[in-house]
Amino acid sequence: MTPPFVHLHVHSEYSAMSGVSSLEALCRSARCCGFPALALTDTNGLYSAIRFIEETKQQGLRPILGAELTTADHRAILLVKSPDGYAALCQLLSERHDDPSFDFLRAVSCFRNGLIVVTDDESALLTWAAESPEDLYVELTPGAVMHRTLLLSRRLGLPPVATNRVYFSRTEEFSTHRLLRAIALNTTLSRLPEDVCATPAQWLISGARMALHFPHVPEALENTVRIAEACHSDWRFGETIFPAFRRMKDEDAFALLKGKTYEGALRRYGSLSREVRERIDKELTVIRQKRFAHYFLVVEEIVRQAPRTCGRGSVAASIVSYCLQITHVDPLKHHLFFERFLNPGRKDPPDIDIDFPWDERDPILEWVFRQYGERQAAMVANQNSLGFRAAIRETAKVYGIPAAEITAVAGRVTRQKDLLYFAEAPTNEQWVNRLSRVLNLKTPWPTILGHALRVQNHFRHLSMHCGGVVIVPDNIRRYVPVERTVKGLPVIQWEKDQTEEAGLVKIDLLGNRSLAVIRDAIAAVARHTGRLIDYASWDPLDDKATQELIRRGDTIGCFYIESPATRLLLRKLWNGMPSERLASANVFEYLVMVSSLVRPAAITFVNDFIRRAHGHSHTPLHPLMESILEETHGIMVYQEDVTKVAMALADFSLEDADQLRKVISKKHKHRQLRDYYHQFCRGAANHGASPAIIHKIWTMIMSFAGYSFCKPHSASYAQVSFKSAYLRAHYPAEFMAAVISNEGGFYSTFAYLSEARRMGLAILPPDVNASDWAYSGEGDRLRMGLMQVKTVPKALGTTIIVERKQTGPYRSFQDFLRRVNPDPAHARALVRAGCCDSLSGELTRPALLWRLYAGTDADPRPLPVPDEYSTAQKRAHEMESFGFLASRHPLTLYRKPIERLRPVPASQMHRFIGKHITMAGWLITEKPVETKQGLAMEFITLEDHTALYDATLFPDVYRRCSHLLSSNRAYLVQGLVEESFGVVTLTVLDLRWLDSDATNDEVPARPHLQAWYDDPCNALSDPPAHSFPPI
Amino acid sequence: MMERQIACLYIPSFEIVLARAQNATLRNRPVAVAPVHTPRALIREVSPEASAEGLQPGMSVELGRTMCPALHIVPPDTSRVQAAHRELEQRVFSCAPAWESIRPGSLFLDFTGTTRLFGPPIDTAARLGRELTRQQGWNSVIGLAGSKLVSQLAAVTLKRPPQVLWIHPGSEPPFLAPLPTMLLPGLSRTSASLVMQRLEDLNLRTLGAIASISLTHLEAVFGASAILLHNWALGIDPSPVHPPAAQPIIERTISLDPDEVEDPLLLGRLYGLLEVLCATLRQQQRVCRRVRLSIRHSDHVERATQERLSHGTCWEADLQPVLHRLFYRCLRRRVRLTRLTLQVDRLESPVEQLSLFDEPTQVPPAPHRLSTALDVIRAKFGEHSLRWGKTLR
Repeated sequence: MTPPFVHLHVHSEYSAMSGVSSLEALCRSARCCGFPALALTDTNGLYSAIRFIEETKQQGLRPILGAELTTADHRAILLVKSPDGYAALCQLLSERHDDPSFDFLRAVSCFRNGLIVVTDDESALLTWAAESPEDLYVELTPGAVMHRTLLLSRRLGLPPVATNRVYFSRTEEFSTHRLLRAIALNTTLSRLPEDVCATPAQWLISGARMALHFPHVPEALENTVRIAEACHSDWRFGETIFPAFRRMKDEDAFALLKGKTYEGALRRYGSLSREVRERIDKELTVIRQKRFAHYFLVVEEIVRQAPRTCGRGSVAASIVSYCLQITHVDPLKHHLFFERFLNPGRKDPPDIDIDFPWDERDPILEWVFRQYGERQAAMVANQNSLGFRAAIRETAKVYGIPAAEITAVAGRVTRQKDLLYFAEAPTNEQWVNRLSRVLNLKTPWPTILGHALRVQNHFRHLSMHCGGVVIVPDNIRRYVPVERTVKGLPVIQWEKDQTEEAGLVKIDLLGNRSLAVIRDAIAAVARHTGRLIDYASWDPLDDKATQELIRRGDTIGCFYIESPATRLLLRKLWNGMPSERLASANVFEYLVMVSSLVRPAAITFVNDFIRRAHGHSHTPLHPLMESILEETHGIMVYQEDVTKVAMALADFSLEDADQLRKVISKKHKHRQLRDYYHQFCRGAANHGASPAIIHKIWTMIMSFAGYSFCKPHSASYAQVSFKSAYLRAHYPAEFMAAVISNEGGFYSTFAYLSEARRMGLAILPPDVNASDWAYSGEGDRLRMGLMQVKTVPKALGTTIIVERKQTGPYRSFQDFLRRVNPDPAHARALVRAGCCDSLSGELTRPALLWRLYAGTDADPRPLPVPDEYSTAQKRAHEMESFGFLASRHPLTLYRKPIERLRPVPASQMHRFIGKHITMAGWLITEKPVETKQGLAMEFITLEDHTALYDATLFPDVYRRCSHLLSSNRAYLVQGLVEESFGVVTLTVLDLRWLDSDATNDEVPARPHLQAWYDDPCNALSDPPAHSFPPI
Repeated sequence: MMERQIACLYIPSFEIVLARAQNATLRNRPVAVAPVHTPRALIREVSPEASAEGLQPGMSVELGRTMCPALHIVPPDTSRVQAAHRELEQRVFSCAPAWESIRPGSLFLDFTGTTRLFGPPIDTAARLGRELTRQQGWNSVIGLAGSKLVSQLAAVTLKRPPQVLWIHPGSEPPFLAPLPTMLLPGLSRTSASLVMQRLEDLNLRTLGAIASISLTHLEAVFGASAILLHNWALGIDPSPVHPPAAQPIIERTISLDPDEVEDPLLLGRLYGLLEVLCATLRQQQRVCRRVRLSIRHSDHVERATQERLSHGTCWEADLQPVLHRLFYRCLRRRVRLTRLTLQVDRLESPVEQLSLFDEPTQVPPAPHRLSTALDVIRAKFGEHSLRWGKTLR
């Protein structure tokens, strides 16, 4: 008969860098050993409490929640006896993380109610036993000190309880435990002190084995069962916990929401049509039923703090949020599916995501914490774990491998790891052996890789989710332990999935650079033209110039549609569209679809989509899908298409279909997804779908894994894209200045400046008498801001500008020094960047620096005037000051090889379709991807000074050339020009570095190649004063 | 007063010359010496081929690779360089009464007053250069002048070794005027970075440009360094050649293949080295007063640490605790080791106070007797006939 025993002290992999086994492994082992229950006592945290409960349910075990609370001097196991005890444990753990003067003994004394305390800490036992011996046990663990602890238990009259302080489920995992400790302590295995590690015996041993250690104290084993039975195990997380708006009652909050909604509706629509009223009423009914009014009011109040926001995600499907100005897309006009956001059957709370201009996001967060206090609000966490590459890196460090070798091997392993072609799933050992053979890895690399596989995915530390905030009506520390980030914000111990499963409602407050771009560009337009654009009411969707710009794919700088992939898709979509369709096609509607289609897993459907958009006929995969996917030409584009198809084709309920949609994008989804797959197959078969068709549809559904959007989200984004595009079309200088000043998006500053030149803007250098801190644009000129000069602090930039605006332009360099009094190092940076050229008069830049260094106490005789810097020196200073060449295209430094090789300019590429050509280019972006077979390849974008062009390195070429790819380099690319839907790209056959031309300053260009060099980068025929000199 | 005749002997790219002697594939291609353990490392030395590509010492390796994709980086190897420099010193000491090391591969030689003994200094210098080329394969450049500064500048202006350049007294200013200021010795040091930066900022790119500026104006910008800059620009440098003060040392090195990071194994190997050193000391009837441990990591980073002993010793039992301390002080990085070098110096004869009276001979301590016994066995049966278990791992 199995002796009665339950493991009450168990660490999972969520005991950072010490626990080894996953929750699944621990629970499976516990079930195999026949334990009825299992406790989880991770160190100072409940990091995986929700997942643990789910896992124990799967394995038929009773979950016991707890934690090992430790400080430098004390330790104790705290097991949750009741829901109140859970709240107390959360409080206690929060204090442990949050309070620098945390007093272990006092804190546990305060929060002991509802907790069972198990420890062998003598001073703690003495203190707590004196207060009350109830629920206080002495922890006996096999080992050298057990006898002494038993004597302590008898001396104090406290019951003993047996534990094995489990850190791994199998004894073989001890080596992984030591490795994790060595990684955590930055040491090698031979220097790892014994007292920081567990012993090999601390694994999840069976009750029988455990009994062998306690023949003399059988009650220690029996007490484990007694404690397990006393602990609360019927956990029902998931009941939604809403924030309370101004402590209102539900009905009052609803009445307030209703009033605000109707007020907003009048503002938005002017008058209320029946359709609007019905939609509002329908939504309000669900909101009331689900008690969502508080949530809407809280979000509305947050949004009111900033004039420009973008409510994104499924919330944009709600007319209530549209009326409250949480979102700005009319759900009626764009046929947005409210049930995607909220439906009566939806059990989990949907979150609301709001974008703010990136530089306004932190003040908004501060406002939230001021409004609700750190008692009610906290940030959601990211649980960072050791990724595969980090696992290799950290393990290799423990083995003393030099950094350069680690980087090289880790890179090779990462590239090769999926290309080993096993017929069946390999064991770790087989995988390591094959990989070591293929990469010719020498000792100790095979050992390192074997260990790396075992430590990967181990929880390492918390970080802060980019914008998720949880607000509760009372005290957040009753629901989940709270820690503090480096920035000083409170952060809960759960990541977004566990947060949601625990019923906590998350509001995502995110930073968005494009909203700041739009804000700054609108402000510049108002300054320069007097035209005031009201962001909220501004609707540029019907603007012809904007539509044309989007059709051309000239969208660099525009929100979300500037990547090479999206621009290519836009050009392919509109280039080949027959004129009759073009006339009726709605650019905004297509932009919404494009925003959703550009995702990795959907790439296989893109060409079908374009063909059908061009009018090619197609047969729907199943008649029942025809009407659902009519708008998107039979392709599932939006997340809600999954819901709709599952309901129509496989008879899913709305709740199940919505759950399927959610599960697809979750990390821990396999089991649920398998069930849904079977349900889908059964349902679709009932409607006559063949297995082949079911497979095709399911493949399309699975393309929503990773990231994918719902239509409301895409519509919200597309609207911001449209607004960006409008500004680019009508106010290019103001727009590009705002893009660069807000540190751009997809591209580097250099790439944006090149684009600005192609747009016909003259790039003017930074100047203390003309520049602002940020870039500024007006008309056909774009002035670089002082921000671009490295090492010049913003405070100095502001001083320069304020002084200039208040007292007038600087009249000379001495005048500048006298009025601004800059630090010499900063003044030097300004001079070398050419910012003081307009003040120099007859003086050279070195002469200015002489006057800077000599100061006012110098010899009364005239100071020397050294020669001006050479062109090469100035170019070097420019690179040093800006990080790139602004005065000329860097390819002009490659004059000689370009003259010799005569590559095809990018603007002429379309004339060589189907031919092999050679092109020169400066690498702008890279997008590494994998083929269906798992082979690595890459899409790259290059530019010469005539245009950008896209090129593809297929796997065989990529394998050969990938090591050559690095940003800010000139390349010579040979390849085949291919055309698809009217858009040309280059399929690369060979790629190499273009050798620089050291003497390019002195060599004149040959006449037939004038076009390469003498087309001034500035498109103006007559460059304005102080612009960079022509090349 | 006798006219000074000072030569500066300089083997360009000395580390690269040594690396190429060891690895023929490095010949005729751009090579630079730089640490390889960090991508932010700076280049220490470049080959003429790399120099032709625009690379200079002090540039980042990253920039160097960008400018010269074919660049091969060689990690610095202090031990090899120091050994080679000692070899160089051996070669020159017979032809100059005083010589001073500048850095590995570079020396000042004071030929003042040697004309009647060795012939004209220019001939002595040329002969020395030829011998180095013939015997060691080291092509040198030699500058000869009346001061250390001018001779050094004369040497570094020579592009194609072996060459000798003699700057006659009085012809220093026209020789110096077109030379780049960056050739001035010491400017690459961190302490002189401000001077170098200001010279560059003010576009004072030649010594002639500095010489043309009044001292007052230079002082306003360069402060205390101005007088030195001014003098150097005019070729004024009265500093003498300082002869070295050499000390005998005993050194043993072990290469680890494969490289290793585990303490017990490394300590075992070190103990083996210590035994060899102590046996040598006993054989030479000397004691040491200082122990130095040098280690070389797999990423070619080298570290050294040393400890002075309160009394001279030649016994393992006395030195083992010292070795432990040195080891843990030295090996602080989590990177494998490829080489261990143990060195003892401050060598002395053992001082033994003899008794005035006829007393029974004191029995040496057991560890000393054990070491002596091991010496005897090894002398009879070979070095590896008997080993401690800890050295076998």
